[in-house]
Amino acid sequence: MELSTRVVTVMRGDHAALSQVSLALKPGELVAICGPNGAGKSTLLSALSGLEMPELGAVFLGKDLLQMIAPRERAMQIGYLPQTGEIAWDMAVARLVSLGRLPQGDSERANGLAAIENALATCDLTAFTERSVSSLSGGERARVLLARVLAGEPRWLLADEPLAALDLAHQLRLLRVLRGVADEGRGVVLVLHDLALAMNHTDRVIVLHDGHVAADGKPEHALSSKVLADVWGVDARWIGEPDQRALTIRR
Amino acid sequence: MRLVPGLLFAIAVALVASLFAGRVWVDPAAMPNAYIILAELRLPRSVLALVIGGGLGAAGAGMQGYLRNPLADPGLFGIAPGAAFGGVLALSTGGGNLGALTVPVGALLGAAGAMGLLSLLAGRTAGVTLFTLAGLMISSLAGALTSLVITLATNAFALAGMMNWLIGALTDRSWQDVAIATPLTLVGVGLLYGAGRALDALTLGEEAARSLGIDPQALRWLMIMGVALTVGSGVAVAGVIGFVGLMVPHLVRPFTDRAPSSLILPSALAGALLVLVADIVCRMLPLVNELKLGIALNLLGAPFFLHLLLKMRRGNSPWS
Repeated sequence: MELSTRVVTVMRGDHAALSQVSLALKPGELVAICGPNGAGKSTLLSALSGLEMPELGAVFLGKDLLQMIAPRERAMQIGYLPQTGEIAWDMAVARLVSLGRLPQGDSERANGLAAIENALATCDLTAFTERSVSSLSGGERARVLLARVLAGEPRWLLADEPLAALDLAHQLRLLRVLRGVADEGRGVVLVLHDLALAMNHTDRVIVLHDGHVAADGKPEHALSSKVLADVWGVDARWIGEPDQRALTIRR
Repeated sequence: MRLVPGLLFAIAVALVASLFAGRVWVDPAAMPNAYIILAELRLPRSVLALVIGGGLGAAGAGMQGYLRNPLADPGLFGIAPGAAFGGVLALSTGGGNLGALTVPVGALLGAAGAMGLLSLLAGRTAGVTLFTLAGLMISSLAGALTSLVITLATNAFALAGMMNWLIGALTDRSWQDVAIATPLTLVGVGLLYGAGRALDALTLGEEAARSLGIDPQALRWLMIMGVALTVGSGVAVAGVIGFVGLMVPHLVRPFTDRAPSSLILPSALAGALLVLVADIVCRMLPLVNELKLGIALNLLGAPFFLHLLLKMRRGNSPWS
């Protein structure tokens, strides 16, 4: 089922955080949303997740208008991982991950328990289930929060900068999990700041600039030197082999 | 889970003790009118302690879950000060022909007023922070109005009556008070219990909770109604009793999985137990005038709060 936007405009006061954005996202793809600070990346993600109602235009899940879908039904289809990584109470890992089953309300029945166990295994957390979250490292906590979303078995996984604040090894580990989710035929959309990660690990990059889509396509096209110059204002180019590219910046 | 049966057992023991304990230790065999003392004086008082404590405990657990802060207290919504203002106003004006119902009705109206003002101030889209600040504003407004009514009191008796009532106590309560507070508190605790799932989702923050299908406005209404009914009816029959809602969830939390929904019912039971035991202690202390329950719980609660703050300052989470 496609997740798509048609001429979506979201206002922040007098300023358009998103302006006439039309996109169609297909399941099975790992998509990155990139752009400078304030380009509208997080706004686009919350519009896609149904948390933000556009002033103009509409977001569709398949043929249905997203805002017409009951919140609980929507929650079962679209999993959203916010940037904050907030965990208010010091629960055990398994209990926290079980919160992902709240829309289904079956965290103590067979279906839900299987989904929770599956999510824990996918994120390499089987050994941690009884540990309290306060005893985990930042990278482990990020995996717990991802497992929480996966426990809901959503068809779409939207994550706002899930890799920020993680060290390289943890970034790659999480990306592997996300790639696996996409390979299962689910849609994965990430806001990414690190352009090299977007370049090497995603199938499609959407570049936002001042609320507009500035580029959209395969990473090597969407993140071409011209786009980097136009959008970020840096004179940079990619070096290295495909899938192992690095960005060099000319002074 | 053994927590709930354990609390129920402790409550049963305390309830029996509360009937016999007091300034005069009642020995049914030796005392001619023992039945009247037990049934008309001590039993309603004990039941009322359970009801009020239960309401405050549940409200505290709900508030901490809602504000995602272990230092939150049902007082933050401004409901208790609003109810206190209503009660004091009713005391000062005499409240028409309501007789013994004057103060409870006044206090309930005050609680409802604070509730209405709170939902008005917080508007449709306000986040939790703005909402809390609105509650604090209502608290100070209601506090100022209460002081105003007190300073305008025309005679010493009225003044003493207001001050006495404000402190919070369970002396000389009747079955009528039980009949007022019990149904309201039960409904309030039920609403708070119903909010449990949404409070669990809030563990992950407001955005994540919404993405899990939680309606923040519906949750806010549940919280306002739940806290207003439990705290409002408590103030209506016993005056302001503080710190129960703050302390109880802390004492209960280590015995649960720490999810807000797992805390509501045990906190209600533990709150009931705490207030009942505190009331027994108040009755038994060998003082010339009985120690007021409100004062006793504040004396207990303030150091507890400081202990939590110090624990936080040392960098340990106050969670545990």
